Amino acid sequence: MPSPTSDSQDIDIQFRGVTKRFEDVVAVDDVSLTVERGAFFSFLGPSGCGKTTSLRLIAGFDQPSEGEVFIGGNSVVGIPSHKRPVNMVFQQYALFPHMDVAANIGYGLRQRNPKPGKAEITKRVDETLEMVRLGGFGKRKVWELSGGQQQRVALARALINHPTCLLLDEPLAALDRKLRREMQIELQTLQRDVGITFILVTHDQEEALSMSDTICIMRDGKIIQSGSPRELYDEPVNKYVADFVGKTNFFSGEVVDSNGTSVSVKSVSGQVLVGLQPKSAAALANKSKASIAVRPEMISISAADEPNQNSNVAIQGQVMNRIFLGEHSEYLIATEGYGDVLVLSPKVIESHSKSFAPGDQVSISWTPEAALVLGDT
Amino acid sequence: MREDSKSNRWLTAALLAPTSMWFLVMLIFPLIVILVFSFGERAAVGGYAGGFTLEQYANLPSRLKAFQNTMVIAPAGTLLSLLVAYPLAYFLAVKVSRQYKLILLVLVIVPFWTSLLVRTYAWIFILGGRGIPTLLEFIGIEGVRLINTPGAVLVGIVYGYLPLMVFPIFVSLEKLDKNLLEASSDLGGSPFKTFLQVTLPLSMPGIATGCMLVFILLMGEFLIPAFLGGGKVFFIGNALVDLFLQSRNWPFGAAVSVTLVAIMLITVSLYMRLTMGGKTGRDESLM
Repeated sequence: MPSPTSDSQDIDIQFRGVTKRFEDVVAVDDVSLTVERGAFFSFLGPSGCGKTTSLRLIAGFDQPSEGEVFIGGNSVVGIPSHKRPVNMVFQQYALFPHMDVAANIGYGLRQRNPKPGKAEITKRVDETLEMVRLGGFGKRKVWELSGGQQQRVALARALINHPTCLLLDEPLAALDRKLRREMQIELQTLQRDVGITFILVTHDQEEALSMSDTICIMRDGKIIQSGSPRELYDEPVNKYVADFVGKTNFFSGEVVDSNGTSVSVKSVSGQVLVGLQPKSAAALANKSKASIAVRPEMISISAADEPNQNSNVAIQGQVMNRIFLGEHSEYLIATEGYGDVLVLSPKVIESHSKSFAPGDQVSISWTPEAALVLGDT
Repeated sequence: MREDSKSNRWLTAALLAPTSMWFLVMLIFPLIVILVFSFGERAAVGGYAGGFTLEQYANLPSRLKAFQNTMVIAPAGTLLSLLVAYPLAYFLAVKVSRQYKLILLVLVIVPFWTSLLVRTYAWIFILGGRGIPTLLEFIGIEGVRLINTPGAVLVGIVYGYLPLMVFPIFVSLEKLDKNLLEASSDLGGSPFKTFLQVTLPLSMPGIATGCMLVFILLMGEFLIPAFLGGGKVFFIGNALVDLFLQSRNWPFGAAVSVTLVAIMLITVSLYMRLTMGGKTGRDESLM
């Protein structure tokens, strides 16, 4: 039963106040979101955050307890999965073990009514095999294939049906690191080529950051923040997001002053640190607990006896460890009062000034614009 | 390859010795005796007298009815058990929640706690003149006779052999990856199509095992036809009891036995070729 959603034709998937309860457990809690047509959208979060349930609500394996899910502008509440125009790539691929590769890929076409002719199915299966670079593998048994090849069969089996939206449930989790990186690039290329919406579920922030246009970070069934990778990295709304997306140093304390754009936080060691208030986050009340978050690459190191003059912060510490990473060096610095601080120092800077060795007394600093003040929840 | 040390070989021999001895004494030796007897003659007072004659085999057609009954009712009983057992196994494996599964499985076995003899005896009363036919008379259906018919024997068979069919099918359905059912649905397969294309083929090993178990045991059945078939529906098993114990015609009984074993060997090997042949190498059949 079609019912109008937003004015935009460009919305593919929409959640309106969707809640999903399993007995006493609330897996998805009043979630509203939109996914644009042709976007690469990711649900990111730890296990049990509701990301997989959200995907299953789109696929139709579960029905929402409250609220509505829309696909292509039509409410799909009550419509079973076999009547939905979306397809899924399962975590363990779920390939049919009693069918060869070609039969697996052609499965969706054979369920159609009317069923396409044999020649038509063979032709399209072969085309799809070529697309996922498995030409000539049609007669193989699925369990003879490697993990990466099984992954491609699962992709082909879904994409042959031209779904409006492809759902991917931790599709790369079972692959080794190198293969995962290759498949990430392949998935991105594929998505651009076929031009359909991809919705990915992952707990791997690197995977989500490198592939998606939009990331939706979830916790306890709720959306914490949704935005482009850049937005999430540069302007996390709270400590949870900052911690989940990329590496961050936190200097915790209590809010002592706030003027709407910048906030002063009195740290545990009594020092007052200043940081920017993220635009999208709610204002922080005085006396509330907050953290100053600084990305490792935003911190500069100088010798302890010659602190950085351009900055109003200077925290003393000792170099514990230095890892050479090619274009970067990663320092671990033990500070007084703030624990270990991670600093990423580019090679360019290192060649100009001196680099530091474990045991050296140093002073770390950052510009006020580099620091964000985040609520602890 | 691992070195086959002497102590290892001793261990293997020691482990296999009990079963080997059992098979030799209780199976191979009696089979040889039966085979020898089947070519002998009936002694004047009954029992066996030596000799070599094909007379007993020539006499087989006189027990044609027993062979016919067995060859029709055993497969029919197997099929009927399958039709009753499959939905039950499916329900237990797929639909029932974890907490009730064990209880329901135990309930399937509970009848085994009482002897089949006693339970089959009970069916005589249920199907006999004062059982269901009397109840039917109350609602105006008269003259129904159930006991001593092939139908009664089939009822007894399904009742007695159901658990043997349920368990292998339950196991194969239980280990079926439920993601495959969702995958089929996701790809547009209706529940019925999913059952035909995914569930049924993947539970074939269980079906094959269950049918084999029930069929082999049914071929030698004699208790159920004796009780529920009266003298009218009798199996080869009943003919054998009669030949060995009543008329004491051991050589003829031996010839009937040898023929039964031969028929079973041929049927089972054909069946195995049909169900297992040309299948995937990874087929995790229970056999």
